[in-house]
Amino acid sequence: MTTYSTNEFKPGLKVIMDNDPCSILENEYVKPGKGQAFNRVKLRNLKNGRVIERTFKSGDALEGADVMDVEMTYLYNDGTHWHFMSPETFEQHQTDATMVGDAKQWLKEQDTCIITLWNGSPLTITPPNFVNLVVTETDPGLKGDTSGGGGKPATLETGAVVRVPLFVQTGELIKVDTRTGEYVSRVK
Amino acid sequence: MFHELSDTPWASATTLNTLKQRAQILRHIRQFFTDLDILEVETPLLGQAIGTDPHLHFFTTEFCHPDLPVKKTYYLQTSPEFAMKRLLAQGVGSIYQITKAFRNGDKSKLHNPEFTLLEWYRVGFDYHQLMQEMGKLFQALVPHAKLTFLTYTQAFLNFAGFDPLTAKENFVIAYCHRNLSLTKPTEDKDTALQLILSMIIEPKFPHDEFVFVYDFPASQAALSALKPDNPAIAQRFEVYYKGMELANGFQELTQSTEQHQRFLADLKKRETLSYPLPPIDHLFLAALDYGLPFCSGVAVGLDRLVMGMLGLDDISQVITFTHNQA
Repeated sequence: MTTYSTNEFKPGLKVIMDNDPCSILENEYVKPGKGQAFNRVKLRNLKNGRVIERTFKSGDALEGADVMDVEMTYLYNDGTHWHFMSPETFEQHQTDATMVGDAKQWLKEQDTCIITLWNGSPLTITPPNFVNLVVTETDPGLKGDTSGGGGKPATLETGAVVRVPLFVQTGELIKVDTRTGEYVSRVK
Repeated sequence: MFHELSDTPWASATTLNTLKQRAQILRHIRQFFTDLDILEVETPLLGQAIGTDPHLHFFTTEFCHPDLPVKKTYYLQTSPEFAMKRLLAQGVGSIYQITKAFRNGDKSKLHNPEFTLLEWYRVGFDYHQLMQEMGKLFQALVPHAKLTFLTYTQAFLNFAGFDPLTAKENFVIAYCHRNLSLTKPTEDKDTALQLILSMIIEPKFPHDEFVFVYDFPASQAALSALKPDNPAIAQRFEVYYKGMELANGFQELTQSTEQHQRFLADLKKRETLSYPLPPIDHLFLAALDYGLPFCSGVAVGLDRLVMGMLGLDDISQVITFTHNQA
């Protein structure tokens, strides 16, 4: 794998830091007191999502990380493993519940997700930004109330629980923003 | 009417307002020196030799002399210091210059490889008198500007909790490594001190004040003279403003033998770092031999001064075309 020196650290570059794959967020060149130059770098650990800061001597290098984002179709899950397939190569990948994490509550069969692969193995799963899911259970709410006020909880077909306006009924299809977990609108 | 075009390679990323304000700042600076009867001089950008500071990387170019078969290497100045001191040795009196300096490899929100320096020398002033005069310049440019003065030692004691001159090398290196998440500890105490001052202490200075830090350790003297009563301390100061290193000043070293020794030590350091070894400026040393009068001098990063005064945070906002657009 190629190595990248601090002069090549651009936001988005994937590197190995402390044995974990990381993505460069920021890179600031500093030259304190007209002495040796350094780079203050902010990185996101792609394994645990944490942001870390490190100061490098300018010119030092890190190994590049073989990290790729690929589109995959979610097939199904059997409780232990979640199965995905590449729509282009038909290659299948499986991941466990921990790896899928929060994405679990938004995945509907045949949805397209982004899987981040590190050295060919799944690292993180990102569901589509918006999903359409059926409300499987919710209180009737006040008939005719369209103000949306405080809303009420609704359980969706995937098991996710989302706050919805009072006029949303069981059996309706709604659009949810997976990044915020918020109701967006009803879907006809 | 000036068209503000960003992300357009041929167009300047500045605004007309910034250009006008920069021009006004230059006018005010020139008026300040005219009122003090300090002479403006121009010295060459190209020289046959250059400063030896291990961490200053230079640009070179070639002169195709019509009479010589071989091209001669010339260096683009990293500062006008040597040429101005040669004039001082000749008895020109107090002088100032606003000129371009070139430092290869430096590029950031605060660095452009080609930048503008305001540099001046006061014959007969010690460094405290020069700091006072700088304060007057800053207050002329920024009415009611607040000035703070503290020693290098006080800055460390107040904001880092240790004495930089007496602390042991391993303590300082460990402190720096720990607090700045360095991937590798620094190799020496001075590099660690520079990082601590710049990245831990300086951010704690009052943002809107001009902060003068003086009496640097002798190991970081550069071209300044050491204190006669305490040679562990160099008569060097730096000025910080709005989170930026703004100026570097000295009570000038006048002894050519000591200056020559410092050049040789620099070259040795450059060798260990595998950096190119430039020729020593013997014309400058000859001027010191002749006699440099008692004087103090300072170099101010003019682009950063403009940034600070206008509340801007990127040098490309105050320079018409930075390196990637030049």
